[in-house]
Amino acid sequence: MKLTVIAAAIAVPCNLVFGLAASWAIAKFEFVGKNVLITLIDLPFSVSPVIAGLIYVLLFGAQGLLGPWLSQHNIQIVFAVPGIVLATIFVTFPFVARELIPLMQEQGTEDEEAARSLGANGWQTFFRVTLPNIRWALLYGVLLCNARAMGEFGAVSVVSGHIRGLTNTMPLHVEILYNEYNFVAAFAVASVLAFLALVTLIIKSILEWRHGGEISAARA
Amino acid sequence: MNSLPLVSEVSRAAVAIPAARFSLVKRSVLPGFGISLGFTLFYLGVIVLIPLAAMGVKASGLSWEEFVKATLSNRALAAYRLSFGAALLAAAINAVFGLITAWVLVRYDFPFKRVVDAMVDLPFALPTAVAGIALAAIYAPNGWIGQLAAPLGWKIAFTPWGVGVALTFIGLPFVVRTVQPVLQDLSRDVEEAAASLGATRWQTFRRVIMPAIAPSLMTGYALAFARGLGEYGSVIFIAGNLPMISEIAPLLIIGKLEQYDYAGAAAIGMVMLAIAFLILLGINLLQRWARVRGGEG
Amino acid sequence: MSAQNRHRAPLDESPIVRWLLIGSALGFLFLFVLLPLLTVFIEGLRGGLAR
Repeated sequence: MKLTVIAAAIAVPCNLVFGLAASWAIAKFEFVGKNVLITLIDLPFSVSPVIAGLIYVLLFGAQGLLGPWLSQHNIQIVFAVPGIVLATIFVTFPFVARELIPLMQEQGTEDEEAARSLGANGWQTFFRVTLPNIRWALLYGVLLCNARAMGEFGAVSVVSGHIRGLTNTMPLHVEILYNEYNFVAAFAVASVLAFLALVTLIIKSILEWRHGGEISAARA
Repeated sequence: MNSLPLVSEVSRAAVAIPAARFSLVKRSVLPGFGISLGFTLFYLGVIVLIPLAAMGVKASGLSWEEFVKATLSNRALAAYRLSFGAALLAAAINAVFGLITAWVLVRYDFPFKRVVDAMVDLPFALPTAVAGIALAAIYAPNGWIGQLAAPLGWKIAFTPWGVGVALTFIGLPFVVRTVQPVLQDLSRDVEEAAASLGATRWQTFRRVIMPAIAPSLMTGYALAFARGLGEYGSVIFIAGNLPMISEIAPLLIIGKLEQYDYAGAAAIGMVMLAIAFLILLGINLLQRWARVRGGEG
Repeated sequence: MSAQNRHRAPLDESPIVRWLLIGSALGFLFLFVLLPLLTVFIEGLRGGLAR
């Protein structure tokens, strides 16, 4: 339960900062290899969640490439909290970036160039001009990112090692209870998660109705 | 949620602007290119590319015979067959009903239309484990629907059919959300022209509307199929997970990991990754085709 | 326009087709979306609201 919140609280801001940086570089500048970069950003969506967990086990696990070094230094990543956080970051990787990139490309660079010519520095331009332009799409991306971060099961299941109380998030807890034939408790936890999903859907719908123009750039 | 049109589509237009001078980067008055691109590449490398490469390294530790043995065993082949079959079936069901749903949402008015529209995204928002236990409860022999099917001698949960049901749920939003915007933008002039030339409604649909939405329909189909191949959480509760019968491909990886056969897990992971790449490539080609089509219309 | 209307070339589907389409879309969504959601809440609340 606590771990669900921790994982989301780390994964969402990380992917938020990444989304802003990536969309700034991609939408405001022209450079070679841009399409490859965009495809790579989309990649985590087409990878099975099980593979998302597997790659971290293969890299950081006891038999993994960095395993010997990590155990020498007493660092535990897989079957512990850092692994769950990493897997969560992976599966929610593209959410913010893919909302922002099409919108910022559509908006172009004129506003920012005007701000620069009026003497604003880089950060001022970003916070006073760019951010207000993209705030609703940003919120939308964060919302979707958060929903997936709290609900992810497959990737987290692989890296968790099912250590009860230590490495179980709410979706994993549902599975444990269900496999213990404790259906009532499993569905009780599940209904909390389903309620969160409904809240997400409602906020999402409100954002789409109120600010559809800004958000729909991603769907054009 | 809206994993619909790939971001790459929109950007390609921007990239097509010819560079004024020969340089890897076009000069701009805006600051922050170096730091934002640098951070993007660093983060992408650490989170995605290096770990994926680690899987390749681990798999390459196997000899060719070992690789074949891990990825083409009878049990693995049965799992691929099930995953492909169920994902194809589920995507096909979603193509038919997703098209109808998109059509109804765009063209008709009925009570609670907005609620219905919002409901389409539920499979994206609902954690897969929650969906999994709910579907298992509904389709189990004593569940609401399982009860109806059981007297007919038809078992759904804990058989390959259960896998199809779960993948239908998971892929449901893809077709609706790719077809819907295209249908929305479709000009009705062409339909009027067809009608005034004496075409029946069905002829107009088949000859005028269908060709216009075909690329998006196929994109939605491919997205739903790709998602179905990799899906894990919603399937394992309803599938029964019997080797050779109702074991899906992602579960093979879990099985290998539980036996501490990391290289074998990596090998199957590489196969699934390669398939995902091919589908992604296909979707990109489909969208290019859609753009060419759109340019003509 | 009116001359060709005799050919009966409608721009909209007949009411029967329309309701059939709406019905199958809603039926599909009910079966695959609403029913699982309801199941979760009904089964979840069966154990009481105590949690």
